Amino acid sequence: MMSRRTQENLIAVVVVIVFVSVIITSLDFGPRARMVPLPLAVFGLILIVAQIIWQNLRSGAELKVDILEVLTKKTEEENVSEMAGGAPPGKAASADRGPLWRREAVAIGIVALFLGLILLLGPIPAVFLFTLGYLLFTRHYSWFKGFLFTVLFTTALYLLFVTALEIQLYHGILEPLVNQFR
Amino acid sequence: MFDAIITGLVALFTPQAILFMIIGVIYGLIIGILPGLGGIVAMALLLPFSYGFETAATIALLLGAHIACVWGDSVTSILFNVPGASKALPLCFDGYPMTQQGQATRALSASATAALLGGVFGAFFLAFTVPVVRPLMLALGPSEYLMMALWGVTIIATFSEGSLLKGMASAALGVFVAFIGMDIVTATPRFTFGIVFLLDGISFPVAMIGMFAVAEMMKLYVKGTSIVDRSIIKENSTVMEGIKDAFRHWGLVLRSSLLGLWIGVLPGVGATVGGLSAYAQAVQTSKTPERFGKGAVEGVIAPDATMAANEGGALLPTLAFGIPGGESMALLLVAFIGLGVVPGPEMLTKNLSLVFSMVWIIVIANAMTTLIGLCISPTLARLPTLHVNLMVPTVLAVCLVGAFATRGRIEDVVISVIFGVLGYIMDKYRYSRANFVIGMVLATMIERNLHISLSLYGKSFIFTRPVTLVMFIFIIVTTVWPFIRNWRRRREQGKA
Repeated sequence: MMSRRTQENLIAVVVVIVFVSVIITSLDFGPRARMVPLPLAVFGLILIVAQIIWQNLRSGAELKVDILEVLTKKTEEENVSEMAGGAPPGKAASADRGPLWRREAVAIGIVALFLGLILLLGPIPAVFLFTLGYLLFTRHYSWFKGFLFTVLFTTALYLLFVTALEIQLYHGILEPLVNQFR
Repeated sequence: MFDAIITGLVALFTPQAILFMIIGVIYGLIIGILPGLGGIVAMALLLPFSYGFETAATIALLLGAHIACVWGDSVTSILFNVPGASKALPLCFDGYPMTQQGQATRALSASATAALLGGVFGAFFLAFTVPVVRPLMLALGPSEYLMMALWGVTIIATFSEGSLLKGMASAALGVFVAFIGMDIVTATPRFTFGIVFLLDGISFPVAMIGMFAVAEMMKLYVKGTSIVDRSIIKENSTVMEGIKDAFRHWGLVLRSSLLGLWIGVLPGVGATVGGLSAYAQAVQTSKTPERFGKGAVEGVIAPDATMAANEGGALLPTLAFGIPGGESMALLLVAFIGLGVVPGPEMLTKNLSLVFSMVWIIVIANAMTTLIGLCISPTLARLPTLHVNLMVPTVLAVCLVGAFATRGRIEDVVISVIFGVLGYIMDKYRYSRANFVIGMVLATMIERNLHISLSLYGKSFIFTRPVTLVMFIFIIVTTVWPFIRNWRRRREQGKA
């Protein structure tokens, strides 16, 4: 498992790459089009390089505290106290649900799955399948209650967005396939 | 004038006008609470129903919905850390921490009362300052608008979720995201990488849905418990506390309302700048600025009073010059034309009773919204206690469908998910998401007004325009002051 410092450095390096990319891309624009992005990217790059230097010169316990915070004495105490844990609030409650990285991977997976369903089937069928699947998988409700809740929730969403707000729905990548069976 | 005030009020006491106002307010509250949909969507959807009815009733429907949306937007910011619209972002800074501390009812009722006070103040100020404001409005140009936007940016220096260096870098990243798409000044496609969809840019509501709503649901799943666990934190606040808070901080409400009104009067500046500036001035003028960001009720009161007063201010250029103060006012202008009402200087002479009808609509709609808000606050305060297994699928569903509904484009759903993951990472490593959105919202305004100022007034426009120079000095003073104050306080503590 990577240390907090390594993680922080990795993220900072990604931000550096973003700023450098913006600088390189901006050079292709005309003088007026790059008037704001170019100097801002250089400024951002300086800031993040300063952050990298600072976070690597300090002890692990003070990792999140930076130069400006020291100047303003703004959030040092709370930063240090939170840094000691390194995990989001509620760690104790979620400790029995596996390591943090696994829960994070599952969280990203859940969102990606829902997105995939929307792209494949369109929003409303995706909402139905996702909600029902989620409730059954977590065993929050019994099979029947979960189904009833999902039907009511999906109907409410349909009435709100499609009937009341008259949003033209996207029918999903699979629509041509479904049409063949119509 | 007194006749016009009375005639304006009487026009609203017809069954149709009363019914339309009630429908508008309830509808506005629902739309406001839905993420991604705000006052503009609410009014756009009502436009087809704005013909064939009484003029006052139609305006009551449209304005009522728009005003109720303002408080609706605040609700999700306070309860879920999900801004209903970009202007409601400052409510997240202190409203959400209050919810986490079991003070949701107090935050919601303080927000509703501040909105009422701000709205009423804005309406009356609008009514009595119409002749005075006109020359003031005409005295301001793009360089002054640039300074207004820069003032909004100074909030980054006064408030940051974590590290200030990271916060400033986040704001810069937000600016670049706003620059994705066709440059409005030179028509150059920037950072689009040949993707046609990106030519239209990234939609603010979509980015915010991802950055806050999707990321918050991911956080909630990882945490494994509801936003507020009632077995640990009991709801320990009442509606009365919130009402008292708003009245206790009457000075802050007054300052914030004046600010909102002023920003509303300036066409194109918008309530987002107003809300952020109100938050900044609340922090800068507080004797205990260290409480902000951790659940200070003043951080809820100031933006709400500003946003409510902003509506009254935005009506002024719309009515007096036919120049809409924002997108919502542009839609109102369309409705006016449909109703045969021609905005312009004549509105303040021949149609003065209609102007006062609008002033009364703002007052009554704000009062109705607050009354409903205060009644439902205790119920709404229970929403964050919903079990995580119910909260995650339902909020994700509403938000992703909301992201799609914003522009009716499936790519926006993909964008909101990308921003969701980005928001989670930023939150985890304390790159301020709020600063990112502030940078995003203000970027276009800053760039556009900078270009226009340079073209009109030359490179040293800051020093050749007296009002600009005064505003510039004001920004520097208000930005540097908290640093000096903290430094002095530390020195005094050191001596003690």
